[in-house]
Amino acid sequence: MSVPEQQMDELVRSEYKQGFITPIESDTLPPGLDEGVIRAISEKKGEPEWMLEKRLVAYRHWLTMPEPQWSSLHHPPIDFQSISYFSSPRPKDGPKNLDEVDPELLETYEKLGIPIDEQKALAGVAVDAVFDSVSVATTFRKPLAEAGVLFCSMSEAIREYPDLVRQYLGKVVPHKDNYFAALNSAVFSDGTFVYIPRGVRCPMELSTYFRINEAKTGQFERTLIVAEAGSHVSYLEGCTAPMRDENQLHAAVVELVALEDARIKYSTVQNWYPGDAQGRGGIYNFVTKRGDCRGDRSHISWTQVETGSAITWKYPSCILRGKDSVGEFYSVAVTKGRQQADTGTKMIHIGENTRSTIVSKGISAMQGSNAYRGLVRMTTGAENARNHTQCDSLLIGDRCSAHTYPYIEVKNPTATVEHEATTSKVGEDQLFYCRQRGLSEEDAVSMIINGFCKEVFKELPMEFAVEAQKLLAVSLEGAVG
Amino acid sequence: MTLQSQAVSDFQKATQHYIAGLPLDRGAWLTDHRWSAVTRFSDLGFPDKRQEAWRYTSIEGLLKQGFVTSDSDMEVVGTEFEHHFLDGPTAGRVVFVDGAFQPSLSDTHVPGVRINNLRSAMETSDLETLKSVGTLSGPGTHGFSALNMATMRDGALIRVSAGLRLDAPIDLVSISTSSASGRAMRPRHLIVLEQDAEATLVERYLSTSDNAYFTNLVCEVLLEERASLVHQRVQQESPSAYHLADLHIELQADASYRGVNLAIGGAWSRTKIGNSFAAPGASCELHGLYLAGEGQLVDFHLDVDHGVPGCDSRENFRGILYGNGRAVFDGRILVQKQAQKSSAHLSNANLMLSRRAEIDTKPQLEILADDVMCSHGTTVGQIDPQALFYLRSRGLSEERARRLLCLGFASEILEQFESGSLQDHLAELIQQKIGSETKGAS
Amino acid sequence: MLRIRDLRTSVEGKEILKGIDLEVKAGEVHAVMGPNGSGKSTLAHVLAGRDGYQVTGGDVEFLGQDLLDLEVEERAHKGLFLAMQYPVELPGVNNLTFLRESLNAVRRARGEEEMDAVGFMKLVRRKADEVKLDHKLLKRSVNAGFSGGEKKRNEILQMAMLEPRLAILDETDSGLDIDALRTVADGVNMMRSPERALIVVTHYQRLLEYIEPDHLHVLAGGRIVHSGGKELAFELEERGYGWLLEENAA
Repeated sequence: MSVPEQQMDELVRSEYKQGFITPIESDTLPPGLDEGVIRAISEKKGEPEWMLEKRLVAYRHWLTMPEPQWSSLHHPPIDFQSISYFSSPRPKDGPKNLDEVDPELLETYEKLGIPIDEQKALAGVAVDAVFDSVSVATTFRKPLAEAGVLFCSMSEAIREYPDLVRQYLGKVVPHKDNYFAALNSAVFSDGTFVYIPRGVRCPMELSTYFRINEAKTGQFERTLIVAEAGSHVSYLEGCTAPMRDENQLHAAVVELVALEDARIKYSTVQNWYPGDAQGRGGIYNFVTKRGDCRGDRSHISWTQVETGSAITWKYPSCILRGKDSVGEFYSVAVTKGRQQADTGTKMIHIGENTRSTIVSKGISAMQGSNAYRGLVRMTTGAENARNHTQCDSLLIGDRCSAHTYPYIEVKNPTATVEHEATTSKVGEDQLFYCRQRGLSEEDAVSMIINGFCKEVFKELPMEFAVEAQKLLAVSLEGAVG
Repeated sequence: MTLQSQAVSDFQKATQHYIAGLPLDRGAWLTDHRWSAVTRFSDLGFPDKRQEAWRYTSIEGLLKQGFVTSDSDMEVVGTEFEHHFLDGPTAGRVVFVDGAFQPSLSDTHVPGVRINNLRSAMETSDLETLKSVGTLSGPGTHGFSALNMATMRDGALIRVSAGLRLDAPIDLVSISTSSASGRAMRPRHLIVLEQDAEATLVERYLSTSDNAYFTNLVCEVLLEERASLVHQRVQQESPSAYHLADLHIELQADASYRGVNLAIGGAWSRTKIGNSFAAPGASCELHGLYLAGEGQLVDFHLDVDHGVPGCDSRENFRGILYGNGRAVFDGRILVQKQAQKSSAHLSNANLMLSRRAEIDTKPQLEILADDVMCSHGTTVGQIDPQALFYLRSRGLSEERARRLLCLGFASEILEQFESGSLQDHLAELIQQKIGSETKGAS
Repeated sequence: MLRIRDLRTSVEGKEILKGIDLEVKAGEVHAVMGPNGSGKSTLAHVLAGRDGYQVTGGDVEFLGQDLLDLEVEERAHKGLFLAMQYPVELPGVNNLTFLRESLNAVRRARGEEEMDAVGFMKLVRRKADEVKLDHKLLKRSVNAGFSGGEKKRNEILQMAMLEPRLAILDETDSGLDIDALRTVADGVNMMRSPERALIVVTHYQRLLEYIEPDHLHVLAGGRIVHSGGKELAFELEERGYGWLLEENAA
């Protein structure tokens, strides 16, 4: 019944289906980091002086910061001088429209199941495709522009909408925030910019697909979403990378700003290469994501399905400043092989009647290690604020681990905080029951796990919920036996 | 020089001086332990907020007090303290006043129970009794517990013989008087229950003054196979006092420990309870109630370590916060790789009665085995307005209603103090404490 | 249909079944009774293929095949159904999804076409009515938060949907009030057919007033100590198990 261990490992290894490398000519900066490299990045992107200044300030600050030492995550030291900080598929100038995009690139995205040809695209989903360090294509720009929505690469936004970018960039996640945010602020190469004007409901789902292709490169993207008063937007990001023996660094920063009555829904399906079963290779996914619920009744919702990366370190957070603002965090994190995930959220309640909901589902299989780390802070002004947190861990096999570290800080007596956490394994009796009704063991496990994750999947946009379920099934194939 | 490093070097000097001043005939064994604890202290220094376990609890106020390590030889006779003794029958009584054992107030003659005090065991070089001292605590897990080992002076040594079932509680009471003012006391207790023994121990810290002093306590509890201990602890120190307690529990196969902790006194108190299972089949229950009011900080740290398969742990702690009271709760459950079939559950509930109060709570689960049932739950909230309304609609004043609801919240824990008179006494104490706070809608 | 020969089974090294012989033909209803700890549930579980039951001797033939050689789901595909004493809860797993997945897995194994959504819904509604299961429960998670009676009815619904060749009902009557018992028994009686066999495992004779067995076996100490017709049930009711055990020991 149980698959021999070796076979199981092979199964898992073979299941990373996005592990191919696109043979494409690219323009890559040599490895290393100094002010010259930062100037080179800024120049390649044709940035204004103020942007270069911002980068240099961040870089100089980064130099003074110690690299974080985490108690629960283990990895060999990262040599920041061996990483290349910029890689772009040739030609250097970004394509003006889809017809100019290199067919190799289009094919890459097709292979990943993300058609960026508008004819074949999923109805109602606009895509920005980021390949290594640059945005290679953005679809459905016309209908979006008609609605007044700005959806473009960050490089373009810096050139075309400098005032907007200057007003918001680095305001939610300042460069001093943490080590990797400082690094990102210095070297970020591209990313996505979204601006939804007052009262506009974005007519379609927006999404970005990130792909690391080049060896020895890091990806440092920067995403900024600004939702003006009364606007709504739903945004989804997906990420994949080829299989390589080396570890690659992905250190992104995402900033969200929601003004009065605005709603931002941010979904992530993260499937970076996790490394092989022995822990060779894989992406270090060190990401800072934060949303500022600045306006009254604003609403920011983070949903994430994390199945990839050798190490995941991210805490998508909400600063609930506006009265009656709402923050949500729904997460499924799967670790298997030697994967480590340390993820969770921070909900900082500042305004009156602010509410937050946290639902975290961790699944650990084989030697995977999964930690939920979260902070709920009720400041003195958080009158009648509410939080509810549910953290559940599911263990598959006896070599994995699951940790739960919630921090709860309350300074207002009218605030209510409820936190619950459970840890259990896929029950033998549950498996037997399903199999007695004729389901195969794998189907039974996938059914039980999907049930376990249901509360999170229902938060994903329809098209992606199905994708996430499949991803989960593939990701855990062979992990049970 | 920072306050911390100044304090470390001051304490180091004072400690070395203290040890050098002890008479030589007290056994090299002990002196070695003391010196290794001094080394340990030099390595560790004092805890600070950068350490995870101390992130919410500052010791700055404690260091600023400049408490002096000195001993009292006062021997009390007469009935002055009798009203502090437990009501009803007891199976032995051990009384300390200002850190010193009181032979004439104590009752150490209980068949089958060896009751001794640390100081006389040291003076008579009673190695048989002393050899277990420090087996669980080691030379110290932080600077203060290392200082306790280096300068320990007195404490209770209780050993219940195999198979003995005590039907009355052992009364262990430490009373601080105005002469304790400005001093640091370093009590150290060792409780051993041999195989199949059953006992109840009531351990209390009381004060007859409002003075500032420091109790730096280490208590070790060893339960052998199938032994069972009910451990009822009350921290009711003076409102200016500092109280630091490190409780170490080790359970052998099928042993069971049920502890209940009430923290109600002190300006600053911190209790760390570490439980480790040494063999399968054991169970550990920890209950607690903390009240933090005006000028108080109360901190509880639980560390339950499942290192062997098939053990059960349950923790249930409740807190009531009022005035500008602050409480810290940290409840860690660790289930190690080999500890399959573990069951571990923790619950922490907090009631905030005032705008100026603060609670920082941090339950933690670290699970490395898969066949386990583990959970924790934490809540922070205020008195349910509906319940308040309900009681008032039945004719109760708001003050009475609030008081009643607070007591109701506490009752689940108070019930663990089995003796009715002790329960009533503690309930009365709680009512007095929160009385002023519940008068007005905060 | 089912032939058990000298079946011996151990659980954690302790022998529970000490040589069971039983033959069940299509169309028959067999009742297996016995005191607590006699091995009734072990027999039911070992036939279904539950882990942790080591077969130490004997063999079992089901529809001409070696049953013990098959995986749990393969036994289900062949038409063996176990209604459990304690049906398992599957939080988050929708009852309808579960039923449909199971039904299609069994149909695929039989070489039949999978059932489409419309046909499935029609069928499931009709069957739910037959076993008097509230349709609301179909939309909930499998057994999660169901009452004891609802769980048992859900078991009977699954049986009605999967149409097994051999159904084993393990203490299906436990924890049921008389109305629920009657509903469950009605459901079981509806399943009786010349192609299908039933094994009803029970501690009490009560259920057998509603489901009349053709044969009754008394299991004690891991062996079938007595077999007879349905009239044996009444004798057991009056005299208990004691006399059989003594008789057997003698």
